[in-house]
Amino acid sequence: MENAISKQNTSAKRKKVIKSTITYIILSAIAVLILLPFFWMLSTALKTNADIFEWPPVLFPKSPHWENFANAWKALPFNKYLLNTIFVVVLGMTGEIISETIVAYGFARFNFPGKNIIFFILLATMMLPFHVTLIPTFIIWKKLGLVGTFDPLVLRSWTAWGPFYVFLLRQFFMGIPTELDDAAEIDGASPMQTFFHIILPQIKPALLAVCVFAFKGYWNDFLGPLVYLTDMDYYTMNMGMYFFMGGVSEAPKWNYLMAMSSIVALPTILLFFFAQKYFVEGVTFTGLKD
Amino acid sequence: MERYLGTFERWLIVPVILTAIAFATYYLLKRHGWKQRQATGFALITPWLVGFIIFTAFPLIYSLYLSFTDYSLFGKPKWVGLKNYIWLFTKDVEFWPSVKITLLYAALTVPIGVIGSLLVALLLNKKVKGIGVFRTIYYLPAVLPEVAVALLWRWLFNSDSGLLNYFLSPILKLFGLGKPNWFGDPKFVLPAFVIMSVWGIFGTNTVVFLAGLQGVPKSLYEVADLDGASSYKKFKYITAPQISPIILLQIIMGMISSLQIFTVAMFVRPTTAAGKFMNQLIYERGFTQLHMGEASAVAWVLFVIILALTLLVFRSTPAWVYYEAEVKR
Amino acid sequence: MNKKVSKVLITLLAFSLLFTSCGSSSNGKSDKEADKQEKVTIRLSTWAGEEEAKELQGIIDKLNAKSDKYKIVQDSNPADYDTRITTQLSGGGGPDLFWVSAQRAAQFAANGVMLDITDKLNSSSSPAAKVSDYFDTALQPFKKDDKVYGLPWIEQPIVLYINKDLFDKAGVPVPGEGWNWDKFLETAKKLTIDSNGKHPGESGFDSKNVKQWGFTLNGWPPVQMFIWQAGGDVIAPDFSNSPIDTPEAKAGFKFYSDLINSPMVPPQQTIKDRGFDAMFKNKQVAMFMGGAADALETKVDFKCMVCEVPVGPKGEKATLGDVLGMGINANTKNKDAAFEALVDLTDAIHQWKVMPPRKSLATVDEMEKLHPERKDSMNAIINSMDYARQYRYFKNYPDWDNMFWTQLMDPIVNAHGNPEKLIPTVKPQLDATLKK
Repeated sequence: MENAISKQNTSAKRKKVIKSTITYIILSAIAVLILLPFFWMLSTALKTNADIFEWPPVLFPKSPHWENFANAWKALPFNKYLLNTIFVVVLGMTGEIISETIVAYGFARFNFPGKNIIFFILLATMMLPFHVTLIPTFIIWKKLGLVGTFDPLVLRSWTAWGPFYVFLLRQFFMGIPTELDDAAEIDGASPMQTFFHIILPQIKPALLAVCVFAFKGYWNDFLGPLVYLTDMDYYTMNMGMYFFMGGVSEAPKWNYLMAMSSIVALPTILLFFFAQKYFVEGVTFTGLKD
Repeated sequence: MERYLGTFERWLIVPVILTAIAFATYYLLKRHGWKQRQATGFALITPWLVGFIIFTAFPLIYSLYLSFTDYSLFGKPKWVGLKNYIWLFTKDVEFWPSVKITLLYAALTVPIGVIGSLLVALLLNKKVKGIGVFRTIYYLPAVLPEVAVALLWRWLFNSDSGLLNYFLSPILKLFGLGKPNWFGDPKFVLPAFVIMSVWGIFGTNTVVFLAGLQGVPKSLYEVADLDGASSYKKFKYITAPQISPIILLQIIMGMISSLQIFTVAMFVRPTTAAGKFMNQLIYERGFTQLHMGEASAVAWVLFVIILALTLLVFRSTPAWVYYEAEVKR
Repeated sequence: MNKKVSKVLITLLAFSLLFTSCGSSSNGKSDKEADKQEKVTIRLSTWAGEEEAKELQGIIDKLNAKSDKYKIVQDSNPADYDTRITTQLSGGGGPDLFWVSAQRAAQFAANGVMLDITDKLNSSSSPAAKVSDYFDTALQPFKKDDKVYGLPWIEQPIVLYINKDLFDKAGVPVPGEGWNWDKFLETAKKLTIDSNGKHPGESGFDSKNVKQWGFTLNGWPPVQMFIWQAGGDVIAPDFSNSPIDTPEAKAGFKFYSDLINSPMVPPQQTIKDRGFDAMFKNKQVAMFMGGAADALETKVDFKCMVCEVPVGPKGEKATLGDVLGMGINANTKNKDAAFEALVDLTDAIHQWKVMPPRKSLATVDEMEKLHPERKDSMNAIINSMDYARQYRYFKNYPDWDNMFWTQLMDPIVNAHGNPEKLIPTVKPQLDATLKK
């Protein structure tokens, strides 16, 4: 009897090991494919501009120029651009996350006349290609006298102007059973308390995801700064990077461009790495915690 | 520092105003006889509504109006009725190929994207050691600026020394085929873009599904394990319904974004013999040729297409989307 | 009731705060300007990249120091310049001065986007304001109905850069007087070598194993150049039609299409892979047609000469003159200061770039003074200015150009399209855009 059980245990254990090994293999194979372009980026960043066009192309330069990173940063006032970008990101993220959570909650947990139509209109705002709304929107900001400032990039964050995030949060809210709300009510919690202590924690993974996405959105925003920033002192990192694209009379500096792209990508990567650690590992449906 | 101050002040004032509007709306609605829950719900969405009325409603309506005009972006729009639409549907050489290639592209990439990112999320949902590092690596594609991504593609798709053809060459040799000229040959342009869309599986889409999977109550799985359910059964009867709201989200978002593909196409500049994507057409007509009326017409055709498809998908949701909280009235 | 009233009051207060702070910020700016004693801030938008912007800033600093009327502030970025400038100008905003390409200039002039400066030019004493000093080719995109809407700051003709080392190695004479299409093709053949050292036309030549090509072509240089050399045209001078079916035009198309499909030009795939310019810089291509301002002969590590492009079969000389310039925003609030800045900056750029579009400056002496490092190339470049031509811009030129490329040239360049078959189909489409 004991032998049979221990044999079962061993074969179950072996199955587990095989399963994780297969998982690791698949994960690693795809990971390598994903990392290849990043290696290319890094290798381009370390080359001189002459190396880049060598034929046949070399994956890793014979003499890596690590100083390209520092030189790219020093070539333009990136300290200023960094401050500008941080300003926009902090203000934008804060406004967006707060307003969009609230608006999504309204759509998810409440019924009011016209709710579905209005929600559909919200979705519909994503369906019109942005080039046709670019100029009318610009005109509005112009009339408000705010072109040339950071306002067009951050003020609307308070009006939940990311339909994707509202949609996402709404879907997550709708995945939380209403019994939780009822139980909280019975226990005497006010709607605010229910919202903050019961509902919000349930969607932590989604909230964290939105944080990372919102950060990335503002950090990498390009079209907004392109059109609304008219003073080189106001430029963000992205606009700054574009200087290396050269233009009509000068060739692009691919190495500096890739160096800066790598640097610019870093904060988002780090943020994600720390955020994903706090994705709640499953939610226990055991009722309210005190 | 002065460049920050003004914006910061206004950024502080805006939420105050919006809150005031929310409260005012609440009380107004209550006076109109709305129930408390109804009024609260509406008040909660007023921040979005205010932004919409001021910033989105006008451009939306204005662009529709422009589609019935001749407008060069400078000077005054001239009303021409249905002329733009008639021209596009009957005489424009580029319009129908553009619609075709855009729809084809979406039809191919949305299923690949949704299924692909779900599979990857399932893979990343495991509690193996170092999964955090893997998850971060799989998010990397999303953090690159679009410039870098487009350049990467040009290198990867390099028909001579590009990685893609390098991996494909044994298969190609088997069939006796030459290396495809990805961006130069009209036959290969659509396949190239579909392959590029695979990159979009990673990044945001996977993370959204990951968050969704993380939100499924573990207890459900525990019960199923006790009953000896197989992985497939667990997926079909627990995971899929629980994350069906997220699947819906991804399908809709996938449709909207794939039908509006633009930046990659503009950077890569493939041959346009097979057609341009509709968003490219819009940009060219509006900004390069200064025919904003025509561009707006194309944009609204695209809008209607996306709208119709989205409605269709929503219509189907009662059959397969499961919300834990069917809101009680 | 009280609660509601106080909520409304708060809302009103908040709104008024918002708008006063908007107002005060713009008032603040104009106060500062008044303090600067009539020195008006003139905003200039350009597409300059990192190096060019720095050089431009040096020029601007000098001008600002000299002038008591204006202070030019540069807002440059190569990113998506067209989208940026079009959005800002169309939305009622935008800079006071901005750089434009020839095509955009023609569009903007036709649409009243740039300020009419005809009268101001006539009454100005600045050397850059002398309209008669400009080459017609350069000024044409900035004119509409005899009125001038901007000034060009460069006209660069397309010239032929050759790798002299490769010429010497093959024992081929450099291009000289009377170097026509036939001689050009002959030269290209002698400079195309496969891995066994054989040339096209010799037995055993392997076109799949070429290691050096005589020439390169990928849609650039534009076919128009060759059509002009053959004596033809793609748009009639009176804009009535597109005469792409005349024998002269057809000769140009045939020359182009034959050349692209010949073994003397790398396959389009290869050009995309290795880079169009890069192949010349990497000595894989012996001859390269580029703008005079590209200054390739100063940027490569082999002996590079600048020559004129070949003459046509009937001896006709023609090349493309690429023009870039500057205009004033028609909605600018500072017309006089902007004009001063325009002429001063234009003059300064004329001393900076090759070639200035002014006859008085486009002489061998002047150019050798301004650009001593390129003095050997100046003869060829200056000669090219005499027969450099522009596209015939008209209001819907981008429509025409789009049709020309997507329906005619893209197939010819990328898909071995046959001009004879394509021309009859495309001509009516092109004519339609002229009439639109």
